[in-house]
Amino acid sequence: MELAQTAFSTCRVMAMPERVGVFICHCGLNIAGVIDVKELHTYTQMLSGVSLVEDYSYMCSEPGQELIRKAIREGKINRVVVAACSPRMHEPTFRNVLSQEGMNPYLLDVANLREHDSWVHMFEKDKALEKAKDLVRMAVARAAKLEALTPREVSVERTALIIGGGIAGISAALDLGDAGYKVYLVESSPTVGGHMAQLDKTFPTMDCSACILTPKMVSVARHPNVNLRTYAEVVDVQGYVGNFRVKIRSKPRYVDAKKCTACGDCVPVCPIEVPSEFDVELTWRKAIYIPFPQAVPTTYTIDDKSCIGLKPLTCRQCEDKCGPKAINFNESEREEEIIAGTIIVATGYRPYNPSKEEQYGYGVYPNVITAIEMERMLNASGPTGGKVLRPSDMQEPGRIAFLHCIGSRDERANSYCSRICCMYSMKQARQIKEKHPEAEVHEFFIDIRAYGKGFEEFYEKAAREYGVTFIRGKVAEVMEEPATHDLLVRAEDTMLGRPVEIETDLVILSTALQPHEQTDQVQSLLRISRGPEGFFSEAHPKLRPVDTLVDGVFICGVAQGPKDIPDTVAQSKGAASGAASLMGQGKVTIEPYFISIDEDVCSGCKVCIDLCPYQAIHIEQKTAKANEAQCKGCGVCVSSCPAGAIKANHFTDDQLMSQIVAAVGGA
Amino acid sequence: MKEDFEPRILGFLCNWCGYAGADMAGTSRIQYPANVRIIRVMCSGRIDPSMILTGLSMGADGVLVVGCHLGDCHYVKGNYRTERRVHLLKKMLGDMGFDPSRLRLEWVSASEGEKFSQVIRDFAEKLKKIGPNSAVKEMP
Amino acid sequence: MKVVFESLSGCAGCEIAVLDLHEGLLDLLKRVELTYAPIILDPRTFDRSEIGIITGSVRTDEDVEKVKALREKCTTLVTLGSCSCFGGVPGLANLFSPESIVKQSHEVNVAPGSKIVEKKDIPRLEHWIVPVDDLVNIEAKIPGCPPPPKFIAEQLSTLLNGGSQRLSKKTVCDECDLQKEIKRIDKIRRWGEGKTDFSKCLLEQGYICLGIATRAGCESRCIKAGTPCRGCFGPAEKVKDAGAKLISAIASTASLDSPEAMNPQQLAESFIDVVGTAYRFTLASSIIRKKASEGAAN
Repeated sequence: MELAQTAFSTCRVMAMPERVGVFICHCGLNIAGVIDVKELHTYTQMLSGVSLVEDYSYMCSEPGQELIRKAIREGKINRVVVAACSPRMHEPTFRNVLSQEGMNPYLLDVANLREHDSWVHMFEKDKALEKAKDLVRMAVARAAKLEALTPREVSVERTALIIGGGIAGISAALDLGDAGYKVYLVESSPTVGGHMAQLDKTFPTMDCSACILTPKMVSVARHPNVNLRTYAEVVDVQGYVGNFRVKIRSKPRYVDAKKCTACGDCVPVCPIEVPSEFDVELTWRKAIYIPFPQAVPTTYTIDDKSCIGLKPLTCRQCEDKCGPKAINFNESEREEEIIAGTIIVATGYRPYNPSKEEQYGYGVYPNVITAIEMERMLNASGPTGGKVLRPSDMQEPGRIAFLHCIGSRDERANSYCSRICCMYSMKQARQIKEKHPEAEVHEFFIDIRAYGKGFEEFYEKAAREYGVTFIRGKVAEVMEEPATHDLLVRAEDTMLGRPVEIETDLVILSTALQPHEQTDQVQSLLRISRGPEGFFSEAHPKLRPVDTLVDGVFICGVAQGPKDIPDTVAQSKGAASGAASLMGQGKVTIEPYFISIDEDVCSGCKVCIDLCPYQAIHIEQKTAKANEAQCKGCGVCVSSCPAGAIKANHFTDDQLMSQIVAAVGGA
Repeated sequence: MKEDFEPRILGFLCNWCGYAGADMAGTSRIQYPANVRIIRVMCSGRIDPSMILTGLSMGADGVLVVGCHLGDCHYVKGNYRTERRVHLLKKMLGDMGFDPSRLRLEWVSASEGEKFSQVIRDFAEKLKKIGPNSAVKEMP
Repeated sequence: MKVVFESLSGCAGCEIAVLDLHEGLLDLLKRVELTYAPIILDPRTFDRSEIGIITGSVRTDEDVEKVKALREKCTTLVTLGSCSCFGGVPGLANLFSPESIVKQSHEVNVAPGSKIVEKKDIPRLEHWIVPVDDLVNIEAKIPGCPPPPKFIAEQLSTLLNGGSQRLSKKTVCDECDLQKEIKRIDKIRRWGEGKTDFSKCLLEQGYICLGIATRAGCESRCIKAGTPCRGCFGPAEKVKDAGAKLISAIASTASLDSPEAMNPQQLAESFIDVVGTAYRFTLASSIIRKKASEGAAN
């Protein structure tokens, strides 16, 4: 059975009363360079139901669009087929053209002659042409069966939900709050601030991180339009753009944030010590704690997993000691439901844990630490009071080595580049050199990525003025001298082309950025997709970098991919702008791909009910009824209905069958 | 089996993953054989077994169903339903005398242009070995 | 009004169903003149008639001729019973070639020592069974295996009044009194396996009941009698291939999240005889309708 045999006369096709206009795009030479457009034009004219065929170099351009408009105006056609690039590219463009001339925009079909034909069969022109004929024939068959549909308009609640209270979430919350929208900012840890609060200085300006962050933390807590929910999580999201019904669960702190003065009197009497999350387990905190002194809200929190005062009643020393009487062991979980028009996901990241890279000895050799651990040491309010010390003997190290790309650019861990590690390693190197100018600091790198504003200059300065030694070669192995806990770093100096061994006192691993632990949860709540590395996927990598494919849900910051603080803030402004644009209009139109159920055919078998992921079908008086607002048009119920009672708008059985017959019927 | 037999593959691709993956193959200019004719659906769960059967009864040598990877369905669980339907349908096709490998289910994400092209190449090769679908010739 | 019956290759169950009208037959006979009806009456020929009723499947070349003759001579043609409407149970023979059928019945299944006598004037088997409306246009269908007598009486009455037939657009579920809940099937059970709750939907309990995919009209007589529906009324109004819809629905209702849920392979394995169950009465009128020849030897 030759594919070439597409002689239309052998195909059993029903008479088509519609007048289909077919507009073939050359797309410059993208299509016309491979597919003989003239031949295709001639073939198309002979198809039953086609009343007009045009071809033009760029159908999406103004003159191209005018060809369609003219044909509609002159009453020559009542259905449109554009044979061009992928409908995912320009279907909205051409739908607009139809609307402009008063024709229902859903009477259009697009035949994909570019992405699915000319671009992938460039060297088989005959076959590409035969395929193009088939694709056009299929589109004509479908177009004849298309029906006019009306998109639904729904109102948009002027409230935004922001998940994640780091710099990305805070920035978006302030922008939206300032614009007059109501915001719920939900953060799972007891304070906002995220990872930026753990940093000492930020590259390349060497601003003090807390100095630029804490004012924003205070603003967001005080902002009249922002409802801050810390120590809380989003546990359920139902609904759709403009009308998300969100359940927020706030965990009990057992401390009344309004009464707590953060005096800290409770700390000395608490008998329980656990590793401090904020200090990356370099030091201890008590079961009653404040993550850091500038935490917002400024209140202590009791960690109910460690506290022994809850059930049964045992300790309670803190309660006795608390002056303002802020401690309340009877507090319980609180759940509230809110309606949000838009959602912004700003969940940030977790640093890579290099324990499984046995060659570096993290977790085994005490003097191998990660970058975030070094950051806490450098911080004056950190566990070492700003002193750089090596863990084995708490002495100041004279020789330090930074190992780049730990967990990044590595097939065995993450193949992507984490973007900020070169810069933060050099930043930390400079800070060490400032404190100890005589120290020997090595940076072992694969490439130096210093792409941003002021970054290259920063790098130059680190090498020239600060005297940091850069060696191009990824470290193969770190070994320890057991008696002294001194380390030996082995790498290849690829510029000199020979192996190198450096003795050092302290090794810092520049670890990768990975998606936050709760990314899985957020994904299943919102049904947004993630790329292979686990970061949330944007709707379009170039043109829609902060939208997701779920209308009304936006992403920003490292949740979307590794980036530094300036880029994070820029993206969160982008997400806020996207959200504001939806909420500002107060309404949004939704594609009319929802189902309709014929109650004369539905026999109440209930096969469909459980299949709908959006609970859009319910039973009323024995037969099934669809909730058009909830239905997203997936069609799973349509294909399983054994009575054939459900119709999928714009993807009806008739329409799909006509495409199937047209595709294979030419045999 | 004739040397010049080119299998005709009918493809049902979901909008969010399969179809986008095929688009990606296009934008990356990955070349693959011209055997497939693609029909776009919003979710692979929209695909009714009767559509697959119609394709085969009208002479398609192979039917390809492409959806999102399990767990990534844009509509949450549609592809799980597709998976079960296809398995049951393959059993029925076997009982009806077809080589069940004429029906093929693949998960291809929007970024997997290379995988999509490889699926077409591989499917076309395998169908060449099985031979043309004789169902149409013998229709009463 | 002249009415004729023609019997093709069938079991005569439909004729018995007509006779089962009992006294209702007398009412019918007041309105019609039954001029020809093999099995029921003696006459061997018939002329032009208003209504022709066909039972049985189109199995032989003689059946084909009979159908064509009836179409010529009758104004209104009605197929009575699943065999003539859809091919019926005999349609399952489409899984085998005529040669292998003859071999099985005349060589394999015979008692030892038997001899086959070749006769030349026996009707030859058609290669495949098709429903009657594949050969000629028909005006009405009365499905069922056999159609319930009451149903036959109602449908014939409509036709005799000159009206056009109205079959139910719904499925058997509409007429079934069992309690229906959402469907999440963990296990497919064979009829008779396990303890059956006769107040609840059989499908929910894992039994394959074709009621969901079968046209209503029989008043769910089988379920009322304590057995699952087998689909003799054929597909619902909007559906062409009942078996395909059944496969789709069964696969779709397999549970996903419960600890006992079947994976796709287990689902396929536990549904024994997919074709025989889903297409018991409708194979000949389904989309694929007959076994492809690349299959393994029968």
